[in-house]
Amino acid sequence: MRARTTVDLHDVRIAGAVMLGAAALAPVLPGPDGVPCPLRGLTGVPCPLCGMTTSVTAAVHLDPLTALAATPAGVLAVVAAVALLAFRRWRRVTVPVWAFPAALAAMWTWQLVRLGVQ
Amino acid sequence: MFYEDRISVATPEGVTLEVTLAGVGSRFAAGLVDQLLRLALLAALLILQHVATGGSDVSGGAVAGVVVAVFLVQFGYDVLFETLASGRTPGKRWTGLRVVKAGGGPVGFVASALRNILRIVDSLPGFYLVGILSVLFTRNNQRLGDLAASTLVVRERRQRTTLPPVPPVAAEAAPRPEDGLWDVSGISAEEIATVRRFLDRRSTLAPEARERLAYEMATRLGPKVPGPSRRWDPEEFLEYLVSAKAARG
Repeated sequence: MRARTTVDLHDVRIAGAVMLGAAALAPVLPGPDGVPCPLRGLTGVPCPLCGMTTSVTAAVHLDPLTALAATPAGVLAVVAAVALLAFRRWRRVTVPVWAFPAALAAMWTWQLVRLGVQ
Repeated sequence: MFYEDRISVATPEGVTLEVTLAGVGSRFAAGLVDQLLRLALLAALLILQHVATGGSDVSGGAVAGVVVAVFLVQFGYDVLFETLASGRTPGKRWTGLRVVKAGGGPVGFVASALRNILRIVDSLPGFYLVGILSVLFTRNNQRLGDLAASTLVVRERRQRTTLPPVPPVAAEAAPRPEDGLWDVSGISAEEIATVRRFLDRRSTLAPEARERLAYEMATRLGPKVPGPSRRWDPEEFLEYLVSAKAARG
């Protein structure tokens, strides 16, 4: 597939900054560690984004091993968010469309292997 | 002062279209209607399967079949309607919404598939929290799927705009380009190329966008053509303009 999509980075940059801020505050906030997953709660099957809260929080607090074990996607998200803040001149990015379902599939495979179907 | 989210979309014709962005409320209403329809469709499929197998099949294959059916209905419903019904699912039609590309053009299969596969992320961690926050805080009311696919959800105008009426032209009074009545020397090659591009892609445009673009271009180019061109239907005027220019070389 050669289809590509151009993503405006303005809002993505803000979302990344919010994510970093929330992850920095996460340990001192009340409530459970991590956001409970509705799919896993109902069926026992993890979703593609399971482990993201744990991973992003750990990565922001410079604990790469915990972060990678939860999901490598969290580390990538933190690196991408920092890069977007560092390089303000990046306005938009063109990526192949298949990258999105491929990323979701890879993240889901990771969680299915890590947690299994309970 | 506007209480609506209006943004300007620059089209390849060099004409700016104003669109009204849909908010969380109308999108939620549309989503609710669509979800009810999807559930009804799924229920019908399950009953069909139950009847077909006599309700005795609880094998792994049957369960896998149900999982696939759920995915196809959840995902395929939106992609099918958005692609084939000009960006409108039944829920969106009912609430007066439409999905368009950020450039104002129609949403195609790839963009629709992309924005809908990312519902997986937008719907987390329940009640579309990520999607709702994203719509509330992004510049153009986009959820993550819209950001990735570069799409917008816009509100259709409730009433037709009041474009100046175009009086019908009597057939015998209408000058034909081949009559040589039109002096098109005031129109540049670039302008003709723009008109040609519009005429080529007009069938893919939303009706109101098409009408507005034709009107804007006809109004801009009309004064450059001496003759009775003002009374023409905008699109017909543009068509004759192109053929007149072609006839004159």
